[in-house]
Amino acid sequence: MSSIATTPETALEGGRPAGMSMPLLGMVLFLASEVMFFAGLFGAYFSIRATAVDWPPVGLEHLHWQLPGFFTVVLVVSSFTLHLALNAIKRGNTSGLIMWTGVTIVLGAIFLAGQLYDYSTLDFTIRDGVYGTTFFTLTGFHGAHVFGGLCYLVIMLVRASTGQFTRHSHAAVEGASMYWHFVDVVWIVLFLILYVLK
Amino acid sequence: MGLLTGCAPTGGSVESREIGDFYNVVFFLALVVFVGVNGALLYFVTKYRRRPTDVGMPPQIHGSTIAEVTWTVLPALLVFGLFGMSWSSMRSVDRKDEPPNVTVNVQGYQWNWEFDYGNNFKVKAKKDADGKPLVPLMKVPVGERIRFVLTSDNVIHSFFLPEMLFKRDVVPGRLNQFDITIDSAGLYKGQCAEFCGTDHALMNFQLQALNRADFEAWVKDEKANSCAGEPAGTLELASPPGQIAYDKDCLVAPAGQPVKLTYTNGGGQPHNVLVVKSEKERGTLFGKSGDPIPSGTETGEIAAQPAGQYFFFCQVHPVMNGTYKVQ
Amino acid sequence: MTTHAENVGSVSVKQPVEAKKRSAVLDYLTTTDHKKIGVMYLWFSFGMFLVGGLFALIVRTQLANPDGGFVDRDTYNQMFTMHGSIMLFLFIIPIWNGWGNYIVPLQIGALDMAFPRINALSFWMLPVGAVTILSGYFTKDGFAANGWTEYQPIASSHAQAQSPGSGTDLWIIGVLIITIASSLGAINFLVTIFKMRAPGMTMFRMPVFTWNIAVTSILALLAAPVLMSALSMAFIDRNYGGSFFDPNFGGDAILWQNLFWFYSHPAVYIMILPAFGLISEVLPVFSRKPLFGYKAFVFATMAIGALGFSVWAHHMFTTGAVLLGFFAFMTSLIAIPTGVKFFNWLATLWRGQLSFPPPMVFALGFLSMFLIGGINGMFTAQPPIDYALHDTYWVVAHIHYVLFGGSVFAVYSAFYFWFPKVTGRFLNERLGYIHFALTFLGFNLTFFPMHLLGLAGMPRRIAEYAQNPQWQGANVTATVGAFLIAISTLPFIYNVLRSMRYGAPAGSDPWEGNSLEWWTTSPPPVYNFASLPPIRSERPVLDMRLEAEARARLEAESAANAAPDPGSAPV
Repeated sequence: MSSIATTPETALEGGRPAGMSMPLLGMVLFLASEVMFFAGLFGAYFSIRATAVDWPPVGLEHLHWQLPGFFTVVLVVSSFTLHLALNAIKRGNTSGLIMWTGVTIVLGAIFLAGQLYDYSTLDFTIRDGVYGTTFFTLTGFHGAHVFGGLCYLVIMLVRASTGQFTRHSHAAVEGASMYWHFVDVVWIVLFLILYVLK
Repeated sequence: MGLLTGCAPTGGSVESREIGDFYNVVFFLALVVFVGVNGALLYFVTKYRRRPTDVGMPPQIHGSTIAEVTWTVLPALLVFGLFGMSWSSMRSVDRKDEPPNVTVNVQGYQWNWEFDYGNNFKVKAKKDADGKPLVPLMKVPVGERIRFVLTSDNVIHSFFLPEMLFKRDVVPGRLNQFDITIDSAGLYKGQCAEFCGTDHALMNFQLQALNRADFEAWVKDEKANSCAGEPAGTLELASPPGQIAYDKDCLVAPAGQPVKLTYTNGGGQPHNVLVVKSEKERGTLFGKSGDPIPSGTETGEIAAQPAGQYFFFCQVHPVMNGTYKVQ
Repeated sequence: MTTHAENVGSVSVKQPVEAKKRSAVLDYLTTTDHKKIGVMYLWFSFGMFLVGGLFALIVRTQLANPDGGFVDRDTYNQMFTMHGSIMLFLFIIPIWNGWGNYIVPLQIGALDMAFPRINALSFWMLPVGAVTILSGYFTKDGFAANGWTEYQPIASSHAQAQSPGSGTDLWIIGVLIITIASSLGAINFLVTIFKMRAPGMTMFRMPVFTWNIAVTSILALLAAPVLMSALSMAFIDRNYGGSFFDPNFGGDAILWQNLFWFYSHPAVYIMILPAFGLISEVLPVFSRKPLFGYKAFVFATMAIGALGFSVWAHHMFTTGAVLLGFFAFMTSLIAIPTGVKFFNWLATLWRGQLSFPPPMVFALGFLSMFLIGGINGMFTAQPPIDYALHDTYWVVAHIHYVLFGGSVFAVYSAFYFWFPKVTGRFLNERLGYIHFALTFLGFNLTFFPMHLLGLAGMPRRIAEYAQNPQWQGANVTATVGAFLIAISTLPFIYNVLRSMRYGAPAGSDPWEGNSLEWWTTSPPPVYNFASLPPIRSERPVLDMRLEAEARARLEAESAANAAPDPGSAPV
């Protein structure tokens, strides 16, 4: 018989076992779609801002960057702590994974709380013209992503504490770390265009 | 496809003939492609039918680089040529290098049109006995360059003159404009082409192109007719707060007796009102020149005038104006 | 061995036991098998095709009379909105997801999709989205009524006096659900295609259908999120007092069109590229030749995908707010790779041995009808001509020649082509030819006159045309054609329902196919393949068939040699 019989198992594994694992590739593609989602929002923001006569509109002062700047630093630090968590599990160090994930969750929660506090200090709302609409839509969607990331990290923490991750099996941690870095980068761009860029 | 040649568009304007000529070029190319490809298809389908006498597989031809390059480059040349023609046709249709003789500001709203010729002259839809708006009719001089400036107050419409082979969208927050020279006199249909809600289908208008003298006579008549009402000895005029507008563009007064006029500025913008003999003469009948009021009320008397058309306007915002009619 | 089908464990086609019925339903509800999910996609989307068709019949009935009068104007607006939304979001895009789901893992020799549970999720989000959109009927003002393009600001908050009703909100949520499903599906296809190919199945040995699903998925992955962001903005405008699209509050009325077409132009390729792929499977099989210029074809697909992202504003030539020259140029460029595809298809037929079962007939119908859809698009690609034709019935003719003459003909071709694989039985041929004749006639009767209406200046989306009674003739013709299209589905539906049980049995490889799906049994077992052939080209099944034939010939000759015949020399 001429055909080289292969079992369904090898068919599942595919012809190119090398490279990124399937869940990670899935995460990369998911993040690509997330980039396009935010690209849509940013595109809207810039096209509106470019044609606006006054930005911010008359009667509003430019947003203060100091406090959000502090929370930006908090979020950036949380990216590093999650990276430490990933490094820990790569060495098989589960307790390191748990500790650094915990720290990341706390930092993320501080950022989110800071964002809500910042909202409470603003004297415009989503209804007050396109300035408020774009501000709350952009930061709101980002905040929702941070919140989603926190949920993901909490689930990961639970899984880590039941010992589900090992040195060789920790795709979920890598996925979480990619997602968290992405959310972080989006915030840095947001911070720059909303608070800093005049 | 052959049917379409009979319907090759011809238009009533200089620009539309440009477009129509270009359409015919594209149509010719399209016909060549259509006949060529479908001809090849039919030929292959009949010639290469599988026959009972066929033995084995046909020649397994996997491709040919020469063929691929050929049928990439040739269509590319065609497409570039077409684009060149498109570019030059576009430049000529869209050119705005000459000042227009007449400018019409078109305002689209749900679901009708208003045509503002400037100088306190607007054409609106007339209403029938039941108060239903009729199809508005605008007129323009034939053989002259007309500029349409388009805008809308809330949703997007499209100002479509099918016989001129032209449309341009009427977008809130934008002033779109185009120039057109209609060179055959006649009555043309117009319609909204961008879906705009319930009565989109009824948002029609008519455009009549006529010679200069008739056009001017029409403007004069329309102006006289458009300001109508019961004459009153006490008149009121106001500006809503923050707006650059009067609440009326027509005041009607009785002839031969003095009239009391009260003007109220709602605030937010400085305005005043001057009533003058005509837009050109400017003999002031009412108001203090060069003295806008930020808000509040100004009351005064206009001396008795003979019957006729007079003019009122705001010195700060000349777009605010109207007819003072004495009858 | 003589036929590969014997290799594969036989799987019973019939499930005659009545008691098993309930569990079969439950089985489909909970399945993560790509084949069953694919079949559910097909049933669901074809059902939606019929629903969307009903809306179209109401539209056409209204337009048979210059005064309208069949339904009132508001209802009419709802009808064409629902027709477009259902046909695009719930029929054409999902039905290609269905064929992709069923066929792609088989074509690359994989066991299933990469993420089977996400695959099930993406399917089940569709009915949820469909119910959400259609539930607009039960709100006070009925369905959404702003067209499938949902142009703002007519659909946004401050104009709500003109566009009231929760129907539009439900539409936005429904489409949001469908787009999320579509991006999840795209991720699944891409990971499957990148990661789960059988040994030997290099990228440039993949069947062209799989290639086109891959490019389609990239488009969906990158374009759909932009629509999601636009829909979110519209929802915020309508419900939370936002003003993205309202210039009276600083927004931009044209912004929606930019975002929407940034998605929806690639979406046209999401609807047509799988059709290109299908045609590129069918023509070689029934010409008994390889696809002419396989690599050129793949590169042309990629080029169309890439250019698809830079042409969105050709839907906006008359807004006065776009760079006409750039977008007109990019749009014209797309004609080049599309032309390459056409020439390759023609060259595939050239010197072949053509046979004409229904899948081939529909494929040839595709070639000649989609050609018109390409040509009439070249008119509107020229801005000056588009000034005349934009938003008229010419555009309606164009989109239907592309999506009906193109996609739908290819969908039918796919049904006739792969039905034997899915069910193990052929669709009836005679009914297939009747189906084709009715569809072809009805289609052209409906949509060809629309070119003339467009040239005459009939705008789309008008509920009546009392001012222009001269348009009635072409409109009545189109209405007659629309009913003919409706009738044309009857022989097809009957054919499918009947052939599922009584159709002539088809073996594993009824058409002498090329790609791996023809290697396994019909229908394939749960695990898809008991064995895989060596994959040395883009036509592994053909290679095996030729090898088997050569061996049979050799055996016959050696048998002849064994006999005492001195005249023949050993090979």
